[in-house]
Amino acid sequence: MTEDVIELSINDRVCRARKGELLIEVADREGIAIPRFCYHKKLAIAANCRMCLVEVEKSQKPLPACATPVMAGMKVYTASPKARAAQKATMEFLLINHPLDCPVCDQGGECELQDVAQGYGAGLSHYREAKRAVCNEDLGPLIATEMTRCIHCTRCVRFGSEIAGLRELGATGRSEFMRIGTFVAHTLAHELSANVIDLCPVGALTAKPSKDRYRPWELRAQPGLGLHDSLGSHLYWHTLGAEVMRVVPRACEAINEIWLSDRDRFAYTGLHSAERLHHPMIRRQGEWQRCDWDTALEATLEILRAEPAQSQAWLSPQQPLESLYLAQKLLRGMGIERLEHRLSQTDLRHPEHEAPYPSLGMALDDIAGLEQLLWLGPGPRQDQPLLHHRLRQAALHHDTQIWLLETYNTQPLHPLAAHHIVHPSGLVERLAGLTRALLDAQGVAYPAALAEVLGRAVLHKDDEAVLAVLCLGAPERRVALGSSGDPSMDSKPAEYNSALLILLSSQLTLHPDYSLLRALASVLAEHSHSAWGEVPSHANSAGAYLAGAVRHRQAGGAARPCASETAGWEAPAKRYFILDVEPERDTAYPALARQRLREARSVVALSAYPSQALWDHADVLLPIAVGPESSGTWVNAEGRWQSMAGAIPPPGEARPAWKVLRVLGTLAGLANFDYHSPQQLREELAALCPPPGPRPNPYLLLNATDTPYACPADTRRGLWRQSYRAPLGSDGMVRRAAPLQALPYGEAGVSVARLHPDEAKHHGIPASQTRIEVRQDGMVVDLTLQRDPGVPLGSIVLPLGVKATAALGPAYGLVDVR
Amino acid sequence: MHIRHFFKSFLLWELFQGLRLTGRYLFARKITVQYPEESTPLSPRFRGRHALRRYPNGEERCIACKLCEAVCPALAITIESTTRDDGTRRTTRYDIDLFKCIYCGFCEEACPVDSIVETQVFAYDFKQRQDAIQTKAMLLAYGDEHETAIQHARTLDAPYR
Repeated sequence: MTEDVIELSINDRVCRARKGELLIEVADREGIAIPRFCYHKKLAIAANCRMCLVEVEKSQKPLPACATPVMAGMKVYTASPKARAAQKATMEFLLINHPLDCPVCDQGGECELQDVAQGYGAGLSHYREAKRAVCNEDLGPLIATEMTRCIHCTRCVRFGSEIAGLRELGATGRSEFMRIGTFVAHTLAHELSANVIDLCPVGALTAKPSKDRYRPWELRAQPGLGLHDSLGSHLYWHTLGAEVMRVVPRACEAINEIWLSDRDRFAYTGLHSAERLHHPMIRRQGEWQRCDWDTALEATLEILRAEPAQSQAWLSPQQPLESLYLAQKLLRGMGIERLEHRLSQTDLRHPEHEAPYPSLGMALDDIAGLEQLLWLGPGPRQDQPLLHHRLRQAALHHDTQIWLLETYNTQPLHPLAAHHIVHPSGLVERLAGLTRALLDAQGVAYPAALAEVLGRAVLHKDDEAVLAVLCLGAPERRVALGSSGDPSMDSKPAEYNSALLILLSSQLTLHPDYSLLRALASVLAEHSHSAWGEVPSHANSAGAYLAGAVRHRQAGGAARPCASETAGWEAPAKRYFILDVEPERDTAYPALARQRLREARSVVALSAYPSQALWDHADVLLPIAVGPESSGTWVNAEGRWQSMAGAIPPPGEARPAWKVLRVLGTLAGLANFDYHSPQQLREELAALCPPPGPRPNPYLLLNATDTPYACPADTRRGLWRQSYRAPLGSDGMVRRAAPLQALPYGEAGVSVARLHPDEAKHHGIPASQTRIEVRQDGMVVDLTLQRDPGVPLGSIVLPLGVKATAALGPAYGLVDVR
Repeated sequence: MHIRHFFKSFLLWELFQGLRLTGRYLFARKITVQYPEESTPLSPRFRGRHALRRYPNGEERCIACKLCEAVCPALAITIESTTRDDGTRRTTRYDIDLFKCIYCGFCEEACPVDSIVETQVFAYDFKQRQDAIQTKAMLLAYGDEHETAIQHARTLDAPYR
């Protein structure tokens, strides 16, 4: 027995525990039940509910188990008459003001108070005086309140200050007059705020979209995945019949712990939107007609067969591996070579220097072990809320230093070693300067392809501190992690430096010099001996690379010679095959995408929610399943393969995309298309993928014969648009989730043009003006103006993926405002 | 053979004994009821056809707690609920399949607001099979129709509750 392991007895059972561990933790481990309300293993100790009082020998009064550290030789009785009396007395106090409305309470049936009252509550109360009633708070479209039910455990308050980092709820008043609320009325706008619904032990905070619609005992919990960011959070679909009633987190310490982002939690509300396509549709003489699957599939094949060399496929990085793999197999089998899933990436140059797929380069769990993290590009707060949570926990509890180099202020809620906001083109300059200084300090020659860029670079004085940190990186700190053989559920990236990580934000793929940023980051990583990674932007961005849903890669990730280097997805084509893409919202050039479809001869789209562009320009629309309606495998930001089964049937005649594609393949007469299950597809693809090895550093691929990287265009003059993917514009389901869109960061909320106040003044916009006209490439939109000092001068920040900016030009470019 | 037995047989003693019973009932008060013109008395706890009740102000009692649905051993009750415009929890669908129902009365016992009750009506018929599925509107209408009887049965049973 080591020094710090002690023995104590609980209910005369001898237990071993670490010194200083809390009594309730030891009891939980031993399976000894102690009632509790305020204690929660992920939150700090408050000890204010007094429900966990237990008898401890030699202590005159019962002690709260959640706040009592264990001591050697301690004798604890959790169910002795003294402990029971204390617990029952507490229960009676808690029930004084708690309303007996369990039959109408959404928590009824899964309520901690109800459960504990079964064991500890008395049939009658001694209390005869007036009861307390509390006015309800309006916490926005996600959380319904019934504050009279509150028992003041303060879990929600502690969640705000400890986990979310934004103290949106607080307690005012004392004892009888204590109230939980927002103090100044406002909507809870933190990206994780709806987790208080799970934390609340009673029915004071419940989910508003599903209010009064179900009782917990009739729901069927089916394991699923969060498909709206690249983390792939674990969750349960709670279904009633063929309908998802609500979504709750599924504990997974390695990914989402016990939390879930509001987007993943409420995206299901978009499933039954009126915009959903239920039947195959075909256009005849300019009119849409409902048709059967056979007709629709025949028409699709006709289009695909017509001019394969002149055809182009747009695939969605939201789709599971199985359908992406089948899509590329079908398209390539029919001679269509131009397929792409990176529709919102503006810079597709230098594919030879790409990593096999974008990933963090390390497990999420290991972020806490980092000493330094250099984050390039907009922070993850709104885009990947749980990644932001990881960073916050690392910075707060593990002293990770986070250096954030943003192109606009995303208001991160974690401590920062440095926070610089630079113009997007400045980001390239800063990174080049840093790289050059590091190479100079180590006396390394510049890689030939980057020689021109690095030759011009100068170290910015603000970056000297970062440079000092990067110079600390030493080769011996590079550690290898055990990795399992095949790409399965638990495969981890294999090797990286434990101390240093350079990450490229998922929003940076909208940057016009992304390939250069990636090359610079990889050089920087190589010479500072740090790990580096790219945060994937969509649920299956990483998987799309592996499935070969990209023009320069085969399924499995092997390079594939491109027919023409220049013809990107935005180049004109005569026929289009679209898989789950809304051209005006999923692409970086919305107006151009529409134009391409308009000019095309025929367009076929597999879509769950056909957008206006598809209704206007498509010839065949095939309804497909989304989210919980279809099984599939997604590769998350760590490179972890995660599968889920479908939880509900798709509506109408919609079918999972992989089934549609399989039938198309069989009808087209292609060989090896008789798959029976997604499992078969997954295994076939897994066999093609190389076993996970060290993430190759593109730096090692840079050699003298490469085409040199071009210097970024001079953007010092004029006003440059920079874009970000709207946090609630990530995919069709979220876009149609009405409760989410009603949030301050919903579609209406983010459809604003953000401009530095000085920049607005410089453009002659009077202080009273609230709307501006933004012009880009001859197209004009009228937007609300938000004066935001967090936007760098010379730049205007516009969202991508919302209707308001769908009429504008590319995600990055020169704009004019009025 | 016993001499007594001989005389009993000879004088048809047992026949007269039987006829005496017949004769007694011939003149006694009759207990046969002329159903359907007449009916036997029913216990106030009799479990017949279901009804949904209202409060005296006309508000439906049911709060969609679904306890009756949960307790129903025959799975005869189907409920769907939502928040009504005034913010209260109400059913949008309340179906009882009378073919499935075994008239155990658990629904009545489970109901926290005395909404679903079993009336004393046991004689009813359906022209169409689908009529056996009683919807919310039918159940409420039935409750309105029999409210006085339901009330009366409750009053009689009150001392024993």
